[in-house]
Amino acid sequence: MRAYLISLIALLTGVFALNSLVDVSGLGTFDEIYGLALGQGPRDVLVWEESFDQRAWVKAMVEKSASCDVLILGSSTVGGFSSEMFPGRRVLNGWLSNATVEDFEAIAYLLESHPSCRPKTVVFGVDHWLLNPKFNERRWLSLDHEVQRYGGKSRVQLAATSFVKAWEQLKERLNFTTTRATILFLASHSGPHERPRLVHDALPAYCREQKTSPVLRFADGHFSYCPQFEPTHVDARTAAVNYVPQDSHGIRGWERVDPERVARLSAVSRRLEALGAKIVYVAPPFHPVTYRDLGRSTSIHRSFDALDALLGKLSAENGATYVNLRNPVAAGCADDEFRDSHHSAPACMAKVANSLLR
Amino acid sequence: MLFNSLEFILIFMPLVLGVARILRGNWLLGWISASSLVFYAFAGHAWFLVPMAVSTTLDFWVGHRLERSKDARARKRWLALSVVANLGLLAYFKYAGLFLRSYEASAALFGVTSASPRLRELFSVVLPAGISFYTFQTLSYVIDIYRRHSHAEKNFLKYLSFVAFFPHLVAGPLTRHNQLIPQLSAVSKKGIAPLWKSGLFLFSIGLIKKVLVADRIAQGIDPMIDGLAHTGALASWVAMVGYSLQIYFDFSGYSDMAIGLGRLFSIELPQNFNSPYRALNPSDFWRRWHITLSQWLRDYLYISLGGNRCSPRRVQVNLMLTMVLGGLWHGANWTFAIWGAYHGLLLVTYHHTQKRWDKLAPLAQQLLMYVAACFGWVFFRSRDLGQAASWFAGLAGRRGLGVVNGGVGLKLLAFTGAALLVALLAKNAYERNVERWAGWQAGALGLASGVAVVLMNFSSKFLYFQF
Repeated sequence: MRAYLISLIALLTGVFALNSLVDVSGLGTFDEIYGLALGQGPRDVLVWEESFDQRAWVKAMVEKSASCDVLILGSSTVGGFSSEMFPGRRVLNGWLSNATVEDFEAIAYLLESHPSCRPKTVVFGVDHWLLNPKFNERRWLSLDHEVQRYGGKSRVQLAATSFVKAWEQLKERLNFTTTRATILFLASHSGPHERPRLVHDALPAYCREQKTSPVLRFADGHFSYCPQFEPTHVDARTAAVNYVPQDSHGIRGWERVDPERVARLSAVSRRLEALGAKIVYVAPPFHPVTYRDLGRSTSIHRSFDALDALLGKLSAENGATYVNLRNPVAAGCADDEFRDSHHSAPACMAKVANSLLR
Repeated sequence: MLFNSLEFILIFMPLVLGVARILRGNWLLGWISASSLVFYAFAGHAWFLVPMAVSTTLDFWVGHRLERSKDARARKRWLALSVVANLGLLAYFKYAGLFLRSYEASAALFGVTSASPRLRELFSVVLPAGISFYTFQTLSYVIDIYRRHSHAEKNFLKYLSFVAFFPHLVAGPLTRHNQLIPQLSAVSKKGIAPLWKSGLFLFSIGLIKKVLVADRIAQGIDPMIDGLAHTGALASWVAMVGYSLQIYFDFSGYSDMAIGLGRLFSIELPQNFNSPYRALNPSDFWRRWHITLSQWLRDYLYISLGGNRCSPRRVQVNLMLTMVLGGLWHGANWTFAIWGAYHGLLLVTYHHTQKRWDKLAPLAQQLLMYVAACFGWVFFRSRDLGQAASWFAGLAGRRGLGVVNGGVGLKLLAFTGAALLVALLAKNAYERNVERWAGWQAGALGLASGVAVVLMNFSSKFLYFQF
């Protein structure tokens, strides 16, 4: 019995300690990133070899009165939209890793509390996992205070969510996804770890020094890669082929659209419209191979049809626009214009931006 | 909340067990009941408690009326009330959707495009988790009182603890009142003395079977099954064998976890699986697979229909009916009924050919039975009859040999092969004397359990959860 308990506890403690030390998801970087984002100028790029808390970045940008005509919200599938793709408009790309409806609520609260950022257009990237009731992401807890304030919650309820936040962080540090990312990170990064920092006007020189792909967040919020780490279309195709077999984003188990999340998305949209914004929902394109595989499954096809019907209805009710570009042909994107199964390369993102502008 | 979740392992269990250890009498029974109801509410939705409350309260009351009643006709009426109420509740929640689909398919033949919105609303219901299990448990309680095989339980808390005891509530093992209530009486008097080693070890073995074996196989075969219309013979066979192992390791893993948890409360729940793929014939298979359900169907359905105390033809009918209804118990789809009928046919055929079958070498019998069981799983796993037909066409090579996808395929083949050897040849958890395990074995179990805990977020719900 002793041997059983010792080995079990030792393994779990070891995993927890390793994941906490490396913090590959950037759970403990909120304050640092917030400070850096506040100081980020138009030609600065926030760089780090690890993931950082994107929510801190977006909060800082809204609170420091970053002005914008177009605010983009969603996951990394819309993270590639840059200012150049929306000529004549100021863009703030507020994409977040695994964005959820809670994140949108938090940002809506931030916009309501900070009048200087009043976007004329808000683009929501609506991925299938956003409204899949089985896909639960807790990173929004970085903005739990804003989420609770959006919903008008009391202090007691706010205190309860602090416990939930700590618990979710514990779970994140004991799960397989984090552990795998930690091991891969340690295998590819040797030497002392840098802290996140701003690179001013010297991105090419910075990139030349990098041996592994850093995370880059530009002043307008879009992300990109150092040129030598840009995924090739062979890499993209491999990822595309494996999207469905590896059950990415729980796609195979996706049976229905969560009506509660749809209602909350609708409510957020109305609150942003009350601030004067026009709402656009966009379904970003999949890699052609992934899109073909998705279409082969009757259940997935049915779920997408249900999602499109609901978004169409939502748009009609809220006076919004729904642009469905999930089929890469509809977006005019070729298979060499993707970074992986569901992330478009800049060429494809520009075409999507064009469709949105129309 | 599932057994394979950190909330259950790190918060719920330590809290519930910790408090249970210091309580006695009705306080202990109340605590077990309350924590079981909380578990159930978090396992699905809080409103799931409503049908369970109805079924539990009704059968407790009917049990007492049956015990007091001397009039045979009145006793029959009380029994009928319980049977109709329980099966009605089960039928409504479970088969409403099937009824609606079948009605719409039939109505379409007469030009009616869809059911009225009111009818759709009435028959579109969410199935409460575990309803198939607890209704059968309370039914067996009432039937045994009717047959005068046992007495009505006077203590409602004890009865509620029997129905709601969380280790077995959602997916079995189906436990009879005369197996569980005496044990609850004993623990309420003496308190809980957890069997730490065997309880924790069995729970760990179940977790490993579920997370490290069943879910990993599922990851590989689910895309094959989704794309059956395009798969050749090789992938069809791999998917079939893979599913036979997935459902075994998933369900027996759950049962192991449930029994292990029971032992932590000094409760011995009945064994539910006994290496079913080591079965030598169809009868043997059903003595090894989902043992508690087979026994329930034998004692309360097959025997009630007359069992084998009838003409040979009638015995066959009783057997087929029992197996078909047993199939339908699993889900509201005609594929389950056909799966049940298929196994009924296997049993009937075996009874006719028993002399010849039993002359085969044991290994040949085992392999024949295993392959026969696999063919049955095709119906069980298929979404509908069309998918089953497509699967069988693939198995027969109608779409050629095909390939199993590259590197992923080789890993899947190797892993499935290893799991198959374990299922066919190795001792199961009950045959291993875990109490006598050496330190290195216990240490290895601890390590594997730790890996399973980390991998849990890559896991799915238990397959039998939906029944």
